[in-house]
Amino acid sequence: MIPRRPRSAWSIRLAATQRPGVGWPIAMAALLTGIAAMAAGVIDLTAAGDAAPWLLWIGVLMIGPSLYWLWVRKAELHLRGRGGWASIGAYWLALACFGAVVHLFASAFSMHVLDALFESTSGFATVGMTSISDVDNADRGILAFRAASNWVGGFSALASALVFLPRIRRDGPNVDDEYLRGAGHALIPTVRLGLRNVGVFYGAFTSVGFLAYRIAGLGWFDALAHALSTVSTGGFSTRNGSIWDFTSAPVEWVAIVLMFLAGFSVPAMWWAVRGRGTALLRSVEVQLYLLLILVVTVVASVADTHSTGLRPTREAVMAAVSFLSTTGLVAFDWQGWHVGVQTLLIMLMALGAMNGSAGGGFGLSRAMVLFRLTLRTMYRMLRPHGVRVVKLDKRTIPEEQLRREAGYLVLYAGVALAGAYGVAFFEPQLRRSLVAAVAAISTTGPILGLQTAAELSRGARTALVPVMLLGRSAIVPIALLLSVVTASTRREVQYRLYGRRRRPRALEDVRP
Amino acid sequence: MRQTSQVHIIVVGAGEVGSYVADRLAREGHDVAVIETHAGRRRQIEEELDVLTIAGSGTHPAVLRQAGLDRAEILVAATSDDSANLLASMIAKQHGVPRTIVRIEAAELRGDDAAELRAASGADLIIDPDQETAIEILDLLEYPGASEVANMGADEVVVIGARLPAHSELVGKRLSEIAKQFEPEWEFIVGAITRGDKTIIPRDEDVQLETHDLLRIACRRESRRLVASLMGLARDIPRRILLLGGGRTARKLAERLSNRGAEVLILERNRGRARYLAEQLDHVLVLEGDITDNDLLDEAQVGDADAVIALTGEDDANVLACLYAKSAGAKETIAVVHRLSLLDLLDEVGVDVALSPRTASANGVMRFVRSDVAQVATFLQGDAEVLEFVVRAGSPADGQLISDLGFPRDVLLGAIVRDGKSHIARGRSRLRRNDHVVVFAMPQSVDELARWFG
Repeated sequence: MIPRRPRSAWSIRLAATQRPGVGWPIAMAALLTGIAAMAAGVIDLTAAGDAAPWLLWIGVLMIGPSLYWLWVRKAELHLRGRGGWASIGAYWLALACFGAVVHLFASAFSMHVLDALFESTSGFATVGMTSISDVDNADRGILAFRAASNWVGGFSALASALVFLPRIRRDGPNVDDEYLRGAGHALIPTVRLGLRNVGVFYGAFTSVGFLAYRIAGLGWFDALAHALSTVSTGGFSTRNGSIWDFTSAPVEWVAIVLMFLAGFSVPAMWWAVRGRGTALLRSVEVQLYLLLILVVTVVASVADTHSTGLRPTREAVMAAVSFLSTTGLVAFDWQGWHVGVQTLLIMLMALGAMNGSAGGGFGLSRAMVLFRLTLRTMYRMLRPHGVRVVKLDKRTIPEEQLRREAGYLVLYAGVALAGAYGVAFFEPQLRRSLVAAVAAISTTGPILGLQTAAELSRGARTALVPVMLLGRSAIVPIALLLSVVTASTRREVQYRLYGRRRRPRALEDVRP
Repeated sequence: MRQTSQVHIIVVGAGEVGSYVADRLAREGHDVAVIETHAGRRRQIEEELDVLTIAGSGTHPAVLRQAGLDRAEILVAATSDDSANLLASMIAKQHGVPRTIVRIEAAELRGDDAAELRAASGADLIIDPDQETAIEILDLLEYPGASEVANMGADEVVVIGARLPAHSELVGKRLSEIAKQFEPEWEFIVGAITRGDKTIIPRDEDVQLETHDLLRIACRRESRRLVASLMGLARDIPRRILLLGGGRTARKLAERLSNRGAEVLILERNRGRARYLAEQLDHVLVLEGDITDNDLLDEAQVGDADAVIALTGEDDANVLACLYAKSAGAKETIAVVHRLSLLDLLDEVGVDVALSPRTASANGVMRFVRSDVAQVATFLQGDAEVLEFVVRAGSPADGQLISDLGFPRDVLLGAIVRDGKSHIARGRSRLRRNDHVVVFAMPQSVDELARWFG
């Protein structure tokens, strides 16, 4: 007999059915938000801030029931079929909502509900736009919670992209398969071990970031807050002028290096750490990442000659790395830069970091795949009987995935345009609405022409909330969740209005 | 007939390779038993060949025993199923059969990873018809216009077979004139001439060469370009190559050719296979469709191709596609044909080269069966064979002048390879032990030859 290993308290119970069940993700979102609030409360105590008791209370209120749900009620995580999509979608929505509640409490209900929702979503979606106009004088607890929400959002994005989505899709290799399923040392062998590996990696990276900022000269709180928001590609700062306010070259260089690494694919870094660094450099995605940073740095340095010395280069590197990794920490005044460079930076934002990193945006390998798909389509026009496959790093991309990536492009552009349309209702400037939508869907943050998002009208900010959330969650989960909900609601309404004979089927029976 | 070494041989699988090997072995006078599961194929063999046929699977010891396992000297496992071949060899070895030949197709089973498995099966020789066909085609592509190419004597001697075109310098010349022209050190020697149905080994006859004569010339490797130009063959190595049919041979060819920098196109009918090829071969263009569809051939710009090679399993499709390609302007066409009786016909209609996957493998098997022969090449047209022998110490040839050896009239010693250097054999050349000699001979004299060298 094989002795049964005692079940760990933190093991994940995977549901065996395809029926959606959203208890686990909602409870997990509450738990993480609660822990973030508690931690922020404790930090606030050290600064004798006003928000501490509120943060501690709401933290307890969230942690208690969520632990009961996860531990006592033994909630199961639904990852199969539609259940998986519903889980991911529900998780992101829950994070945004719970975070908004924490912001309301922390501000002692002086914050408008919509601002709280915006601040929370921007935090968890690692966007880094803020509705707080004076960050310098904000309560330390609130700043801590914002940084923590960035961090939780970054980890959730990683876990979702690397562990959950590939498993839910179950359609064979995904973009990072080459790295994900390496022999022997797989990063994601199972859901539980995958989460552990990603967590350890992310935690270690954060610690290194904290130490680096500290050594570069930041105080412990600034160092912690910036480490949390840099490694997650969030971009919240503790200062009005972001990282520029520290006027310290070492701090800026640390930020540049951390952002560069944050935009790097975690599986790729994992393999580099495992001693397969040369394979890493042969990856097309890595090459593209380095090339883009190099090109934009050179162009931005050349096009910007208002000062002398090393400053322009550092600014240029920072701009390239910050926007490509979709972090959005700034130590430069790009508002005054050449329009061509500004356009380039906005394109970098939209393109985004490497797939498999905490960074957002469209994703470099996805962009490469679609580019090659386009080439193939053109080739087929010349040779109607030609057979060609799309490959990335010597791996053939399945046709199903090609269709999915093409669909994703449509969704991505569609959501961005819809967001711009929404913002345009409240902001009369065409450029501002477009740039804000791109900054939101790519989860980068900085909006051209504005110091902070607080300068936007409340309506415009609210219009950006769904854009940020969709951008962060890879759109599909939330879109599918909403389609399931609306379909069943429509049936319910039809039943009530017209008394149709057939009762609406349960949520789980509706095909998304 | 070979009286001295008549042995009992079991051939497992009467497919294309198996039946051809069985045929050739039986013609040489060996006792051959063929094991075949398929009744129709068995009946066909019974009608065509003088061999014993056994119904059943070669992986069953009882069936093998029925075929004479206990007295068999050689087992040839030539089914298209690798694992069945390995198993048959294993059983044969267990029953004390001294030598086995196994056909293995999967690259995975031919690599280092499977070395232990091959050792366990006891196989003494491994053959792969597709691989050998691919190599044969690659050799042919190196000499555009040649219909046969064989590398002998550790590749130091090349035997080129081709029909003389009208513009060849050799047309109208007598062999003695050619010999005089290249004195004192010959670079090549004419080993066999086929005119019409008749093949002669020109030992003493002073033949005048004519257009359309099929010549086999043995030459030193360094002189192969000279010979090719004398024979009036094209000199450009093909750059744009069309492979019709995407089987294993095509895949191997495409890999080698594209590595050499050629532009390769493959036409394949099966969608899944076409996709597989596109996945596996990075710099090769794959088109999906039927090779007899002239629209598809036009899409592939067949007229611009330097070489069109038809490799499907269907002879008629291969021939048709080659004819279309030729009419569209393709420089050279090579067709794989499975029915040997078609060969003479093809020569007349304009297919430049026809070859059969059987002969390539069969050569390897024949060499192995006649263990005293180091290498053998058999040509599809005409009867002459080219063989390679090693002069053993103390054999009659050791230390003798060639003119003193007294070979039969239908045997011609073509070249000698000594210490890695090749020379064209002359009457005044003296043979030494460990020399490799390349010999042209008619089949009836092959058996006698071993006496001189072995």
